[in-house]
Amino acid sequence: MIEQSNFNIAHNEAPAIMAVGRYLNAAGEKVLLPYSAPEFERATKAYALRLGTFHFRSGGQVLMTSIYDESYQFGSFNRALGAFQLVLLSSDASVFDAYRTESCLRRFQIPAVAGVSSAVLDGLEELGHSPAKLMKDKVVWSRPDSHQRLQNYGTFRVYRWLELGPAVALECSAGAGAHIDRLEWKVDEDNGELVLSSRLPRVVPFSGYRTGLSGSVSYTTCQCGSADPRIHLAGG
Amino acid sequence: MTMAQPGGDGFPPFYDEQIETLPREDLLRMQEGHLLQLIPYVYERSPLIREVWQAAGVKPEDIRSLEDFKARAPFIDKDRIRRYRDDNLDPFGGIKCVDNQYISVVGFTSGTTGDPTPVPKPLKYEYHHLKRDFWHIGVRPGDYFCYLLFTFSDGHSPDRYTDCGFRPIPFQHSPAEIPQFIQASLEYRPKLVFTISTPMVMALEEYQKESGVDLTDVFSSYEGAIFGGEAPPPKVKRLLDSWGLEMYETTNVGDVIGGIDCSAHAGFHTWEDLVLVECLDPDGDTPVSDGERGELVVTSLQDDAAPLVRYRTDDLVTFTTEPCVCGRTHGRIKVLGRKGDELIIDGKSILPRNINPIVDCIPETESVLYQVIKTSREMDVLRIRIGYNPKALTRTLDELREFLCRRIAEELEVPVEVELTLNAELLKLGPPHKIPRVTKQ
Repeated sequence: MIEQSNFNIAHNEAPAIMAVGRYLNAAGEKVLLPYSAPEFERATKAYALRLGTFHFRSGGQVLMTSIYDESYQFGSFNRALGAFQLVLLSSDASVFDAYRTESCLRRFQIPAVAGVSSAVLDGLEELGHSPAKLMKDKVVWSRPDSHQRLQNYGTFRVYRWLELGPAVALECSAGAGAHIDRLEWKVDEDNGELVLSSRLPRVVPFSGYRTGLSGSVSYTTCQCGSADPRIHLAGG
Repeated sequence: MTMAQPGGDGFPPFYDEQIETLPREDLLRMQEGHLLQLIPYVYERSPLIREVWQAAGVKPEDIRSLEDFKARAPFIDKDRIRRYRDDNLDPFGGIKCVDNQYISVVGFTSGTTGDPTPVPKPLKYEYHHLKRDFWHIGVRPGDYFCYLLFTFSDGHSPDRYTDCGFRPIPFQHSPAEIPQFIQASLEYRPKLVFTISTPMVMALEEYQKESGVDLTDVFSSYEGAIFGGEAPPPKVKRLLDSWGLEMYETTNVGDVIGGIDCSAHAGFHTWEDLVLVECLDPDGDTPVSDGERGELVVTSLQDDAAPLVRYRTDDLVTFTTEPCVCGRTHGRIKVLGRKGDELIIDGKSILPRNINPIVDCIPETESVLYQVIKTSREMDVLRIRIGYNPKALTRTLDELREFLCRRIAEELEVPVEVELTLNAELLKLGPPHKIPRVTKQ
């Protein structure tokens, strides 16, 4: 393992705020997260690296289920899709918008769905739809609360979409752990808990931030060719 | 009311003065220019438009002026788009003119009247209309605004406003988010909330009662709150006023752009450089006079991804091109309701929003939650399901029902039947910002 340094130490001046999003703290509570255009740009590039491993055809459509306060986490993903000329379809990651989720999955040729939560699955099932059929053969990025349930359907590949406090880790096509951007974040384990420090100038720097998530980190190069560390949550 | 003055903040009074105050004759020339480029482009690329125009025997070369277009161009509507979609298994309903590579996001209509209709947005889509209106309300470069659109349906673009320096704070449109909304308001002192709805305002009132928070202080930095989703009940306006929030309203201008009223509060500006607005006889195709009731018909002027051409919106409006006292010259609409929601009771036209001011004045029903039960367009009796707050009851349910029947019948001069149900039950029927106002059962 190469010891990661913290570039942030050399930068005292906070970058200008572009927008204010939120992250989830160790207790699962929402905390306001102001962020800058460079942070957003770097997150976009990190997502593009993961998306590139799937070789989606340009012009394809990707469905994102999200809610508006996830602008930092999903807005950069939204923009990364553009790097591959992929078109974004969106529906609310909630029970009541399941009719839109279903309509998108039924009417459009969609190779991938991102950000699927338990609420999305509940909504689809309440309307009498089968997620197993609707998402068959698609790439599905799961949130932690739906991961096991999605795997149980068994009709599509499930990849991790993982929020670790202010960071997002995303699995590549190798499906061997969720990559976290090594230039942006230094990630460590401390007594089994994942701990983050930011390495580049951020509006809100993080140092030794305890995520409250139990897991481990792989620092070896992934099959996809990336040297970005991979997160494995405890319990699979 | 704020008139257009050079800003005391050192900024100009308009976001885009050249366009916003364009003399009418220049505006019409601009529309014609866009339109004459648009028609052959759309005819060649949109299978639905080509099919409709061929069926009507109209060719692009028949359109040489704005007048030709208004006289000859055939109409489309949502049913026609849906039919094309279903007949041809084309999710875009035949209106898409470009390859997917030239689309960034596919937005959707609300889906209130059926499957949500896709609204593709081109890569170069600009949110000029919102920037103009936000600026008018008082948002300036460097200012924050809270962004609480109803459902996540057109992607995330926090960088959408980077060019003009507005800084969004997006939230989920949910009463559960109120503590966060209040915290952000106190920390970042935003200038605007876009948008707010009846359930959010009612939840804010409840939160104030329970927490003792001073909403006048919370909103002291705000220049306005943009209300959307339906016609605002009078109680919402009173509450916003009491917190020092000036209420603006927003509506869809036929799924082409959003329209927001100005500080004169005299109708929604339609931004006629972006959309050609016609107000036509709802049962025909002749224009109604300025300010008269008609159906809103729109044509996208600067959308090359999936432009709507002579799209009958089903919205009943009045439209005026009289210059507004705010200094902007683009025409304004006032929304009366949806043509499909209209009922004829005893020969009299009733729209759901006619009921708002009546139930708003009654303590038990002031949340203005109700549904009109419509089994056909013409009915003998107006049937309404009305939500009530059990904590506000001052009489028996039978007495309340009889009182509501009598009041509504007196005001609307039609026979009325009322069914009472708990507010909480009605709220389960919709997304967080509104409930369907018309139901078949």
